[in-house]
Amino acid sequence: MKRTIALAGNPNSGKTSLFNELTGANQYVGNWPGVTVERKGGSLRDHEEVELQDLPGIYSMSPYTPEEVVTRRYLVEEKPDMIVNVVDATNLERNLYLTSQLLETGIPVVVALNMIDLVEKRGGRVDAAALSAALGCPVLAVSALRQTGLEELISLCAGELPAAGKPLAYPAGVEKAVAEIRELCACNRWKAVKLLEGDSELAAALDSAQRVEVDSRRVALEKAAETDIASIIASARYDAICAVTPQVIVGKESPADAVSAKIDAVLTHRVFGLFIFAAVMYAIFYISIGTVGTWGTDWANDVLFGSVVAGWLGGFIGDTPASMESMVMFSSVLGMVLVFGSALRRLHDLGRNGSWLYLAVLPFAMEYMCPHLPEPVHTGVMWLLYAANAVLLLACLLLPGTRGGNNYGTETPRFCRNPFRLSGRGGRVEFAVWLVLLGLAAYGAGLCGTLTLECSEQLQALVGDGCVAGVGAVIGFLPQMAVLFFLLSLLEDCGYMARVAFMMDRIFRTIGMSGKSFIPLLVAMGCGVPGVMATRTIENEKDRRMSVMLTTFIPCSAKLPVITLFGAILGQDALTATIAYFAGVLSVILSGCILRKTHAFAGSYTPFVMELPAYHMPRGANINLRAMERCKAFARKAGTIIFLACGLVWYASHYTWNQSYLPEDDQIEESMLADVGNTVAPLFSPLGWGTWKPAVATVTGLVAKENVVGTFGVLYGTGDTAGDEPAAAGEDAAAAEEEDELPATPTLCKANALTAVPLAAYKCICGVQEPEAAAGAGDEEEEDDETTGVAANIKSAGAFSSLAALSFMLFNLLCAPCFAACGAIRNEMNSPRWTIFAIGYMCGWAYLVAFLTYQLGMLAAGGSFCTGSAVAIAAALCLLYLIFRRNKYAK
Amino acid sequence: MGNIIVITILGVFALLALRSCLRSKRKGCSGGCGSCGGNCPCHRSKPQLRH
Repeated sequence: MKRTIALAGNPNSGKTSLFNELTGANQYVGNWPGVTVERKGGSLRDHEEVELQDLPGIYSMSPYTPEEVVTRRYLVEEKPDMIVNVVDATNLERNLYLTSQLLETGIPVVVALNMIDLVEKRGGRVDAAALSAALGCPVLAVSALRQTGLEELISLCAGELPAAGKPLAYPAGVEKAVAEIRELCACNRWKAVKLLEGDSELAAALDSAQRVEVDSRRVALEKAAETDIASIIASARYDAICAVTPQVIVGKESPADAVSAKIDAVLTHRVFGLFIFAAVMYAIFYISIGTVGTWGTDWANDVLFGSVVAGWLGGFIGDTPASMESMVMFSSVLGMVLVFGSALRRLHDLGRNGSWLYLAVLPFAMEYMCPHLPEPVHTGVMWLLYAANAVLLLACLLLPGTRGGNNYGTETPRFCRNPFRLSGRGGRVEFAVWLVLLGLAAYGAGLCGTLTLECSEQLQALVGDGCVAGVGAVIGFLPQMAVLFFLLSLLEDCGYMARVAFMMDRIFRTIGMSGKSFIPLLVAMGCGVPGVMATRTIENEKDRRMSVMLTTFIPCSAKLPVITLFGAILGQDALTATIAYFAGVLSVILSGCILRKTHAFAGSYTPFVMELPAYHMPRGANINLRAMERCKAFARKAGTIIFLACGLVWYASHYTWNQSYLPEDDQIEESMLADVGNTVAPLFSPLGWGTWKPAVATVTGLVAKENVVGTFGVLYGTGDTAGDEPAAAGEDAAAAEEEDELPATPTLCKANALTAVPLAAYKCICGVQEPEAAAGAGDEEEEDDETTGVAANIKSAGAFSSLAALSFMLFNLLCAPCFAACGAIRNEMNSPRWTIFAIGYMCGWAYLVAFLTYQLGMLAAGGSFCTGSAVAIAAALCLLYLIFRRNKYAK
Repeated sequence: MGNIIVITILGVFALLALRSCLRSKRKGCSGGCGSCGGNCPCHRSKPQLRH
């Protein structure tokens, strides 16, 4: 007979790992609460008639967070036959709080004490039999990681259903009230307790007479205990739990906890903690954007899009076939990307760590970092490259897996699913066939370079200077993004990011906000949409609204290409990135300070309680998967939204309103786009960039922030070969090398980059030139000859001075987010007035910051005093007053 | 002939891109942010708003 079993438990208790072991599936396991936010289903291993549902992790069955709502609705409305309560054995007391609520539902409960191996490793022991006697339900010690206790659990799930457990007893007064409510409302014990607690969702289903009766009992209890009912019930539960746990836990404090405490003493230090965080973030940006990632980006700009793609494209749609080198390079790059991604995913699905695959790119890195290798060494490196890749393919093909099959279920978004469906020998054949198909696809794509379709001039320009230039400008940043995503995932997985929220609480408290408001900001570093949605965990409505408004000040991953582009323009990659992130945090703090003193947002401080996970070694498989999925999403966005937008931008910039084609670059001022841009541009003159191209880029950035880079790619071009005759790779690249037109040398080779930071920061912020002066002219261009792609073209066109570049970057980072995020804000605010206010506030704040940056910066750099300066000084004084004025609403 | 082929390819790409954007918008997703690492929090079965 068909049976349904739910897996419920606290976040990070190992539900998903256990689910994978019980079903043979491959769900993603993460470190953040909220990774699983919807239930996933699967069949119990060897028992197809038993369906398992993996529910989101929750701490209690209250109706506040989406995870709690999903779990609660499933348990109460769909009533599974049994609940497997996954309990983290290393944190029994906290986990049993949910267990006490599950026992009240009347559904049979089995407690799976997970991570029992960690308890034993720390010298402790949990008496499962004693716990089972106390709770009145079966308790099994399991370890999803070590795969112990699983067979017994499977037998229990497939066998006879156990009796419903023994709910914890409340004080006499509460028990009496619960019994009366059960009779009055004809409901079970769990519902009665929830109604007594004042659960709004359940109370809405009662009639007015019943509601009055329930309320009167609650008021009576609160009056007798002189505290609120939630505290009475919670205290009763914890009293019962604390009576049980000393009898079942045998052991001492774990060494891991002691080590974590020692590390926390340093990393979360009251004074130095934030400086350490700033240093860590600077180091991350230095590695990803300043050095390692830049090697890949320079290669992408110079070699891939500047030479290979241009050569191939010319052969495809032009009239001259691409050279053999171009086609081979194109096929090789495409094939390697597809094969590498597939191999990484395959290894993860086999339950193996794919980090060793990165060895395959070492020969590439050597080849690129040392372009002047003598011939025998050069040939050796190339053979090493081919051999490394052949070995990894063979390994992926032959390695046995630790998991069987790929069962994703229908809830997993399609772009996340793995194409490999089979397991065992069938899986190996499937993967081999997949590799062959990928190789043939890459080979066929390369051959298209000989088609010479001889398209019209406009079409060639649309494809080359429009779509490819725009998308290429964005994709060119992918290597930097990949390294950054990798490092951020590493930081998140080891447990450090949770400490950052804890440290920020201290600062947020001084301005009347809670550290809980920092959690959405951390989520928003990936994308503003889930960041805005994460504000749902904030109970206080005013705090929540304020968090919704301020969350998107934090640069999301879509803004990273903008930051990186302007870092290259300003000549300080890592410093610019650090300034951008801290400008976002500072904007949140200052805005919070200002808004807290207004009637609409005034309120008392909400206490912040958060679990800090113990530090642990980052898991390679998780980091790889997370970084890979982010890169895939980044590339997917470039191939969709950016592709469309760049096509439209090219069209609007090369045609007049009469639909006459403008073939020459210097005719662009007559285009439709220039007309529209010139209408909007004067608005941005006080910010230092009152020309139509930056104005247009800002407007297109509202669709997706990467469009700013894509638009600049279309309007300024991405390289010297953009729109020109195709240049063959290989021989021409070698010839170019001979003529010293080399790809940028790695930044690591530059001496004393860190010691130059303070001087560069002063130069960058204050500026040393007139607003209209070319940023890349003269000496500066000679010093900074490593800038490539769009950044180089923008600098040589003299589009921005240093201050104007900084002002533009800050405006685009802080102003209204993309349309998707605006939609999320509209959903969360549920009020057109508040939505308009939120977006208007962000635009106004961005304008103010950019205005002050430019005008005060010009004044500090020795510029003349003018109306703009006077207005800027007045605005700055007003801002200071709003920040430091007395809060008349403070209690 | 070449123009027709390239325009067809571009058109197919554009339609696929548009379809992807519209599907993402309907689901309430930002279009594959990737920050979730595979379990997109935007793809909720029944979104519950606090109102």
